Amino acid sequence: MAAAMHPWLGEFIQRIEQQDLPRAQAAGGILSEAELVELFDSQLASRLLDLQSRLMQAAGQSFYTIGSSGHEANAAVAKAMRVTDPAFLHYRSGAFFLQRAKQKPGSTPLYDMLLSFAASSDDPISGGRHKVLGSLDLHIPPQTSTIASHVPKAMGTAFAIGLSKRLQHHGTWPHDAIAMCSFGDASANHSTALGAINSASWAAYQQIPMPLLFVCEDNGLGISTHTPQGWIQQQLSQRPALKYFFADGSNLAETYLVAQQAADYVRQKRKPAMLHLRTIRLFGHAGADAEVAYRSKQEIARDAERDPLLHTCAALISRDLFTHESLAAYIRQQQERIARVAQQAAQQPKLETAEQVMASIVPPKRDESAVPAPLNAPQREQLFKFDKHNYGKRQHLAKLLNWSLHDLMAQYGNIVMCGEDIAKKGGVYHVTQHLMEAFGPNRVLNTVLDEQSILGLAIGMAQQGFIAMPEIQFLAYVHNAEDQIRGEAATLSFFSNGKYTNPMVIRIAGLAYQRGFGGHFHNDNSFAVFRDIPGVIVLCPSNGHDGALLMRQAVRLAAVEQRVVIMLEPIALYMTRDLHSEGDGGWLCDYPDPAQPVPELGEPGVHGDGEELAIVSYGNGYYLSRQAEAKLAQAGHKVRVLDIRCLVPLHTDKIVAALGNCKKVLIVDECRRRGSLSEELITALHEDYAGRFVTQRITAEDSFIPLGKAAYTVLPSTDGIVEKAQTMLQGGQA
Amino acid sequence: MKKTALVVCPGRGTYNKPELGSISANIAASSPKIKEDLQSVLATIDAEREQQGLMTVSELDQAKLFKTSLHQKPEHAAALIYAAGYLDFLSIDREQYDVVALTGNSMGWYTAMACAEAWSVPTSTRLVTSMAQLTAGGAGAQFIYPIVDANWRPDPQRIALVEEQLAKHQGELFRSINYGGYAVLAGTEAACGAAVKALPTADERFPMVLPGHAAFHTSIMADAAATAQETWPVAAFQTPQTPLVDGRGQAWLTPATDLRALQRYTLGHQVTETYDFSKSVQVAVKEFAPDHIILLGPGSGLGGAVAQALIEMQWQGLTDKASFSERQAQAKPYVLSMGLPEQRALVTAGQS
Repeated sequence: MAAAMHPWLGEFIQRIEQQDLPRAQAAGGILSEAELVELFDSQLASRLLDLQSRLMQAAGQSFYTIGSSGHEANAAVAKAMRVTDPAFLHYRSGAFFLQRAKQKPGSTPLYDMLLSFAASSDDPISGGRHKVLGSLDLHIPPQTSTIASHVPKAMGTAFAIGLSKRLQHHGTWPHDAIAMCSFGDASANHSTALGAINSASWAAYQQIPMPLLFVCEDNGLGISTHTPQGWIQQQLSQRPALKYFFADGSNLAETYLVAQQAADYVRQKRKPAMLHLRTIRLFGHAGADAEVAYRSKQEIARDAERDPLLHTCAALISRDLFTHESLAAYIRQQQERIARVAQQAAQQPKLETAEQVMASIVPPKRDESAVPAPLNAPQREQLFKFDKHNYGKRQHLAKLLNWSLHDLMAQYGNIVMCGEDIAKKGGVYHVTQHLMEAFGPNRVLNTVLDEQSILGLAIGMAQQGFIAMPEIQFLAYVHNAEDQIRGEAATLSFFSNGKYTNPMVIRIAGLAYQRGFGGHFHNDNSFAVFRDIPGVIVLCPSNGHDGALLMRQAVRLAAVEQRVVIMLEPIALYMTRDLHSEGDGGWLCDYPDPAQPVPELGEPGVHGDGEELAIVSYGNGYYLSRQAEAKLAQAGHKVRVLDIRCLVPLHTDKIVAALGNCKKVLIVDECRRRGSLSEELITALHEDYAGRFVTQRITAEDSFIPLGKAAYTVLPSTDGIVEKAQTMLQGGQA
Repeated sequence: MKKTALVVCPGRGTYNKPELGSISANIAASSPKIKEDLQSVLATIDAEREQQGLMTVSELDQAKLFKTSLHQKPEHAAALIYAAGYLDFLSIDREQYDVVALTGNSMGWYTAMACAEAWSVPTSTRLVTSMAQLTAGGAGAQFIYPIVDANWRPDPQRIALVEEQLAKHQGELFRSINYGGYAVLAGTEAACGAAVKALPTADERFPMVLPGHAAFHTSIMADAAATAQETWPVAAFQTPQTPLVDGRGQAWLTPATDLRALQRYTLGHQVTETYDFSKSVQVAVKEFAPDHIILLGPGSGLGGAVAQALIEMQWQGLTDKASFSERQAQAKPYVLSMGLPEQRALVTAGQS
């Protein structure tokens, strides 16, 4: 019995047999016979895979039918590039993937793509976690993006390729590689795409190498919304330092020629280009989308006549490579072949347990050789010459963070920092002061004012082999860019089964309590946005000593464990010197020697050994709790104070171990009552240690932070902590 | 209902004493509808050999005695292996089987090229002889060592032993062929000698030096490759009529192929770089998903390596020797070896 055939294919073959093909487009001498057949093979296989996925879905074997039909011209784009050019592909790039696989002997793209359709754990890229186009060997990092969220990291990768050359760093991709990024016409309107395109232009405009080929595959539709006629050309052709190319995707030879010109331009000039590729969309947006509901029959029929496969068939026949009969037979043969491969793929194992699914959330560990030797004493003496008057004296958090960054950047030659105002100015709070002078402008970069681009840049640099250290100037600014962490950086290992990673340390200045400065935007006290992202680590130092140790820990986690780490730095404590009274210097610390071991991940800092009450806090809350503890001690109470330090994931077991014999636990959380980590901690203490603890919490109000002194009305205070602690110590619950 | 098949062509060392006379015997036993064709092809091959002043395949095959010095002389052995393989290919019953892809091991690539019609019969005949003379005349040696355990599962210890020798003799010892459960290594005489001495004896007969073999599929063959490319220009090549999967796991498409690239691969890369037979089988079964794998003669020695390549990737539940044997015990085995009479009968025209 012949394999089941999708009805569309039956009609397509019939059309060929009836010799009802469009007139072949003039192809000049652009494609040889072998090249034409090779590209056709990719285009045809891509179309047949789309159809097969629909048959598989009907049989309950596949789960995602969004396809590449009508976009198969992208095979010619693949042919115009090298296999070592990193390609960040949108989901209609089946033909690109298949064509690129032809450049890498030993590839099995049909089987691999069908494994992906079938969500088999054997799928070599996602391990059954998603239908993604991705491959380590083909230099195609997998993308799950549907809204252009992959565009910033493509920009970042292009920048990083140039940076590797400048720093003589052996990157993942060669110095003469170009990055490629495709997206649809609807996505071209997305602020994420526009931000990344803008950043690419911004860099290229000032002669910074940005070897990036954007490919906008314009099928004229975003699900059901039409793209205005001419909009993409108007929108994308007039950007500074971004060269515009156009090709008609129905014409394979034209597409190849133009793609080659565009890729050559990017490779030679090291400047970005935009290839506007006119395509069509066949079979609706995805499996369940009935396009007749929003498109006229004439419009659908018109597009069908521009079907790239139809035009390639016409070209094959006009060059006598096939007769109508032999072409029909060839297509049937290929359909049967793909059906056979699909049958094999559908039988392969699936992910069956949560453990299997979650196995790649945390990337695979590298060996300790990823940690370079620290500097020796004379080298360090030279390094810290710039601050010799302060060195050896107790310092505040900002200074000790700065010193630890000096040590780390000297030790790890592949750390690159990027952010707003971090270079010559040294950051708004001077945490990055003098780093540019010490390590040069290629390792301490001032960026464009766009957090999505900053994080995209970091992801790109990390994928190229750097330890990226982006700075987000204020916590509130990360919120418009959080998807670059949530949907991109954090998911890369998961969706690539640990094959691709983007180790980085994201420094974010945040939290409230800044005296006399700012309002809501500079005093944001919510990091809930990071708390539910699997795999991400959030560290928060409250003092300079811990700041240095946690920064070293963060870099180590990135370098060895390839993790995405967020360093949440409490702005209000950056310059804090005193604890109890003005001039006491109680919050200044010695700089820990680089040989001092970092605390085990999740191990809280503990002050005191009192057992009447434990106050558990972090950041500013810990600082206030230390003040409260002194007052409680004066009243004769023996209280211990825990500094959680690692806020995500919460290591409740280590916190409980540090509680000792304390039964009463007061959680002081400077973030909001709703959504702060106090909720998680209190839940864990009750669920996992039922009846063992009496718990209370003090949190910020569910409010935004207002200006001036009014800010303190919605935030925990020392007095409030003392009062609540005393109530608990007296046995009360309220 | 026709079945689909991947056809695999054997490499050097497969025409031995038991195979003496097998070519003529197989033709004699073939169905009347193809017998004449087979005889005519053999006559063409013989005629080419005569023109070259060499013993014909028929003479060699029908010799009374198998003489190592005669039959294993490179230009004779190669012609026998090619002829046996190609005639077997022509004997496959096309009413029963659609050949969806071709591959081969080492010089089996030349047979595969012939089966795909990338060369005419006279060209293939001359080319296999000339390549045998060119490469066997080259320097170096070749030996084989197992990298699987008794159950045909990858043996990390043996793999490590091989890696150790390759690392120790870098630039002098190379991976010649990835041959299923065996590593075929080749290199300078000195490096091979030292490695053979250093490797512990495995399965009583390994490491086994392959007599008369040179450092095939290594850079030591560079001169042979250069001469071959001068001798056999692109014009001698034709577009393959059946997809071929080469010794890198690369598929060559029909109906148009870059013949210059095919020439360069066949007489360049294929001669001087590792021949990854395991990969070629693995790619072919994944990308063409055939119902059966047909192994051409001469002999039936290819079965183990093919099975081991499949076991390595746990194909279709094949996890070890036992599961493969179980699969083969079915009425119509997955792997059909034309060197085994009962399986040959399942493949050839008029005998099933």
